[in-house]
Amino acid sequence: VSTDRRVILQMIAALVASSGLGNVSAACSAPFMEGIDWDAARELGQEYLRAHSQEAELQTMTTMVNSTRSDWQPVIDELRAAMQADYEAGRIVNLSGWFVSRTEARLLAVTASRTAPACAGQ
Amino acid sequence: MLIDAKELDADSTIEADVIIAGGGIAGIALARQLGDAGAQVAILESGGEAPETRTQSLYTGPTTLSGPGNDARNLDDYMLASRVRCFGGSGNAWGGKCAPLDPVDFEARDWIPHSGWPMSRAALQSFYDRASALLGLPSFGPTPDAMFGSADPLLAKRSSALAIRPRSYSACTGLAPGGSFARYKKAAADHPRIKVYLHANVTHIRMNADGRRVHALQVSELDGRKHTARARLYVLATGGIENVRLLLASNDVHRDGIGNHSAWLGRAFQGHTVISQDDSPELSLLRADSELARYNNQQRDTPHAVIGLSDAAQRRHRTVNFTATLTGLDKRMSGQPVVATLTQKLCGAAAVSRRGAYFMIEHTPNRDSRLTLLPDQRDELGMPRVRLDMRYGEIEFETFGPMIERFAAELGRLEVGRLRWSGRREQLIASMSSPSRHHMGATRMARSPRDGVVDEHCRVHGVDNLFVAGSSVFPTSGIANPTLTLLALTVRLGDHLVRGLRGRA
Repeated sequence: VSTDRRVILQMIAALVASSGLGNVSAACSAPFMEGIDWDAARELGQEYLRAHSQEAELQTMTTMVNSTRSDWQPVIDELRAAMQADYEAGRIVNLSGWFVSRTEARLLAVTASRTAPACAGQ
Repeated sequence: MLIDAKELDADSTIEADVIIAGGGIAGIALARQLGDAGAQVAILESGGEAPETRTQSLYTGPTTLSGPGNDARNLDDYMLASRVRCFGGSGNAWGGKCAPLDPVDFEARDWIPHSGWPMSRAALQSFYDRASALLGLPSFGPTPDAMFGSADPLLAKRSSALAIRPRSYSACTGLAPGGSFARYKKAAADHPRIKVYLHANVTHIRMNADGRRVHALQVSELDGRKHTARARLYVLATGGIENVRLLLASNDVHRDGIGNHSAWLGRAFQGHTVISQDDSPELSLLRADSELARYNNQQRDTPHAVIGLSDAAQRRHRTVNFTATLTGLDKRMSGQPVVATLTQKLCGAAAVSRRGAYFMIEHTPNRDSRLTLLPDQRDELGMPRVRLDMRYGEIEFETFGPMIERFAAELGRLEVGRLRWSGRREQLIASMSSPSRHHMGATRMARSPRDGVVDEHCRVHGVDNLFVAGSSVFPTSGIANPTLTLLALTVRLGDHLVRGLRGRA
């Protein structure tokens, strides 16, 4: 049974809010974003944004990625479940040829509006 | 015994119990099987022991490749380059890749016109086993699990939508070191009951007046001399194009060609093409390179894994067969596979293995995909040249896009990897490689003469003593390389002919 992505993202937002740490712009916060090729990610993210800039889920994702917390595992688990639910339900988009889940596409889109943090990959 | 036809007296008569036109991999296997069973066999081979330009040029003819909504491509070197006309045939240039067809390939699928074999995959299993032995390979089991015997590292999470399609490589080819193929040929040449006639071109099938039996074969040499070959049984094993050419051109009794009673002769030609385009597909696997070691069979340079849509998924979605083959890292791939790197962290995968890939789709039987004679263009022997109009159908191109998306989604769901492909439907023909040497379908097998050229025993419908060996009898072509299947059918044909020679069939 697929999980509704909106519910998942609301849960993520709640998790982030409950951390009480708020947004930290361009910090090396979300560990799953560490070490990625920031320029490549931004390129794909901008491609997604060009077609989906008004999505409400993007703000939720931005808030979540820009937050800081001591325990990211619940967020990672939820994102992983959201990705699988997207693939299960066929919610996939093509970014420069890459078939990715909506959740991955939104994660990439978040990078498009950020400057590379100090921990970004080369 | 090897005999050069040039050493025969003019107008000689060659006699045997069985005459096989064509000394390729199928003809040789059949001759050995029949010889071992006590039959006197003659192989009539057009070429010599090695390729010769003059003989090879007999193959010249135009080819086009096309599909709905795509620009057609001329492939005029294809006829010449995709075959080898000498003893051993195209086995001299074969890559050795072997695989059985999938069970679904044998089924009548109501969404694919003209699909369905007169036999199931299970009924062919014992013949696949014997063919594998001929090629020095372990048997392919009836299922991939039976072959590998352990959980597959790529599809560790069970999927009803995807299946690993095993492939092996035989050393019994002219390209492999070790002399296995030379021994394969020598076993026929040295056989006490087999005579291999070189430079002996079959140029006409002479029928009795009633058209129900072959009376003799006309054999021609390039210098103009002619001979006659007579036997109880005749087998055409000249390859998927020349079998058709001979049957179409022998039209003095059957005006439309022998076996063309239902206008199938030459039609439903199927080939295998690889879809990769210049900007090669990429699959970033959430796996370590070491996990792919099992696919590095036969000590080839890189792992060679083939993932396909499962039989069940094909039935469920009413698609054609489809595979993605993983190759080595494409040197053109640069930078970080950012999608997989991001996903790797979320999934906790240990590594990312970046691979090139190519796709293959089943070419379905299409009456407009066909071989026709060019009566105004003759080769040096006076035979009409042949044109190949190779066409893909609507169903292949309609289902390709959704198949790729479904395939990518399942790879994602299973956390196998992420796929990149940006080809478009109207560019599919341009994205295809030159077709492989797989020439299938144009003397298709069917129980009823209304539906094909040969029956389930590869006998030409309506002709008592004429048989066809080779991939031209395949009703559908799946994706698997055809040599193993054509050999399995040849072994099966051999059993049938032995029974016939002993008066029991």
